[in-house]
Amino acid sequence: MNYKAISLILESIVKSFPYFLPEITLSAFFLIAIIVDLVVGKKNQMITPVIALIGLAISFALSAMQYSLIHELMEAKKGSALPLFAGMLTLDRVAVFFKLLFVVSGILGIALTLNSKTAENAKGMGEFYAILLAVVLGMNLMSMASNLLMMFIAIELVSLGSYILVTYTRTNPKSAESGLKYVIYGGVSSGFMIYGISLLYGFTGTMGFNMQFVMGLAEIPYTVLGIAVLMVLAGIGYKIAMFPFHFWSPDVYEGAPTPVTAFLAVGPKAAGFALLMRFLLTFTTSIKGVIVPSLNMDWVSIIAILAMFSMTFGNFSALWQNNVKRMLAYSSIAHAGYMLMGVVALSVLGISSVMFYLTVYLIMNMGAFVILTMITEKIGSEDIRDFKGLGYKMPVLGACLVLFMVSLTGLPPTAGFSGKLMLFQGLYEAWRVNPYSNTTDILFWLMVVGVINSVVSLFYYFKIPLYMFIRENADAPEMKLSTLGTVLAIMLAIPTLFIGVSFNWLMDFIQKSFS
Amino acid sequence: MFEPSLNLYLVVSAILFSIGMIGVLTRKNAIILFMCVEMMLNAVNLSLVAFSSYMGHSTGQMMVFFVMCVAAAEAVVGLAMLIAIFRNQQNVDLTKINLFKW
Repeated sequence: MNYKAISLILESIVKSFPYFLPEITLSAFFLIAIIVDLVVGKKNQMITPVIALIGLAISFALSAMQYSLIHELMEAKKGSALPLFAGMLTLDRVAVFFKLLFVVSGILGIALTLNSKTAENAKGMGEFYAILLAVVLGMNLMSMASNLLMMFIAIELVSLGSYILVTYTRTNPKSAESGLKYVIYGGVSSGFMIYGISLLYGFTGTMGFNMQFVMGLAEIPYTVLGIAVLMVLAGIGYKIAMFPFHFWSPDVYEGAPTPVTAFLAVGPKAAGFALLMRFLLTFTTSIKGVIVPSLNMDWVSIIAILAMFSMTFGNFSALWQNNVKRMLAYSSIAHAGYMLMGVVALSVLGISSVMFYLTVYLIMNMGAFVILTMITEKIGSEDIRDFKGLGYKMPVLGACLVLFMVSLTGLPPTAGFSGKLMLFQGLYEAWRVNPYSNTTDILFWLMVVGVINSVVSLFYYFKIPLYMFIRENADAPEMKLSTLGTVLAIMLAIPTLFIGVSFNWLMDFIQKSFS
Repeated sequence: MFEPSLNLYLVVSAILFSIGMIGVLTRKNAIILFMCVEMMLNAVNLSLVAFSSYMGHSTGQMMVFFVMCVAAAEAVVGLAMLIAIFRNQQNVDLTKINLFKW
């Protein structure tokens, strides 16, 4: 590499820093949180979460500013995507949208932790909030990564942080065991992913998602490309808990402290989808505005089949569960399956429906977890059968929980319904437009399986209202719940209802990312 | 003098990767399991270096450093968890670490 090339790269790096402010903020606050916790953490327990929240709030504001920044770029006809750090990252509106989502999930994660008794089982909570910031940073990088190396590092940053968060209450044997399982599955799947990356690198000679990469891919033999892409998918699929890379999720969700479960079910899953879509979009070409899978590889069928298995496996396994957290873990596998429907469609509508559903899923899943955290900690059990008659002791929160369950099932008039409507619409459109003739049947069957699964999910989600309101229990304990939790739950219940009634504004906002 | 070709390196790397994977699937001791994961990652390192030297540019070799860092970080976190589990249950045998039911 000669002198000129190096100076060009240096210039690109220097120029990229102003666009990297949200991430720089997160890194800075990560360090500040750790140092402050070391100095005054023992005396003042509230100082680290407050610092973490400030960091997230600043990062949110900076990300929101990037949204209008890209708008100015588009006005000046300089394209809608901004390559940063010599093509390692790409900043576009889709990435900004996901970054806002991650920060919100981080803030809700911290709020849930403050509202729970996690701190009682851990030795000092200072690092917890710091590591949560690092995980949000990793997720931000995941949503922007446009290089195989960056992809790997971002996923590992999220994974390593999640391992620690899951094991944080380490004196609890379940927490430690689930952490160990998480690390082992994580290590193996990242091994697979990096092997796939090495094959892709070997065949194309580059790691960036650029022209050279796409040209190189076209020359790889069918089987080898299939193996390499599947291996990379193993790494991403592990993050979104997609069948058959989901084995860790029930154990980890059950063993982790409940606020961490809530955060893991939403944040890293959304980041995984952001990365999955960016990765798969390199395997497509756009013909007259219609996105068509390029190359000789039929990844649409592969993802469609995995989506069917994810939904079916998740929903049918959830039917037998009596542990609430384990049930929601299986349900989150099923939800990954639903969202893969949008990925399979991979049109503008498909991608925006995935973004829409992730937003909705963030709201309703966090809402469900807020209430479940309070209930399980109050009654000291995670078994649904112990919820008997609790509904009448906490009518407002009970009603909110029923609303979240209705929304997770996908019934009107809730946000979950409009989310599913969008996903099915995206898939239907893809099936009707039919840009790739050989996969028509599979798209149709995917729709059918999706509808059947929505019905199946009704049976286990409604177990919770069933026990809470219909089964009588004369000696149900009195439920005095914290104000913070109640406020959070109601604040999340309002958008769940509101998006269910009117969702056009959100969809318009998301679709602006593409225009 | 015998010059090993790219294929030979790739075959060795694939064999190492498979040994690591079989180890993960069959061994019962958590520490051995971590060694097997490490072996998988190092197998990948070999193939990355082989590709990189075959094509004559340095991207692959740079990647190796990152993989090594990640492997080390993963080992640190994993071993810390093993210590936590050992304090709770006095063993690291995976067949006996089974609190979760289907």
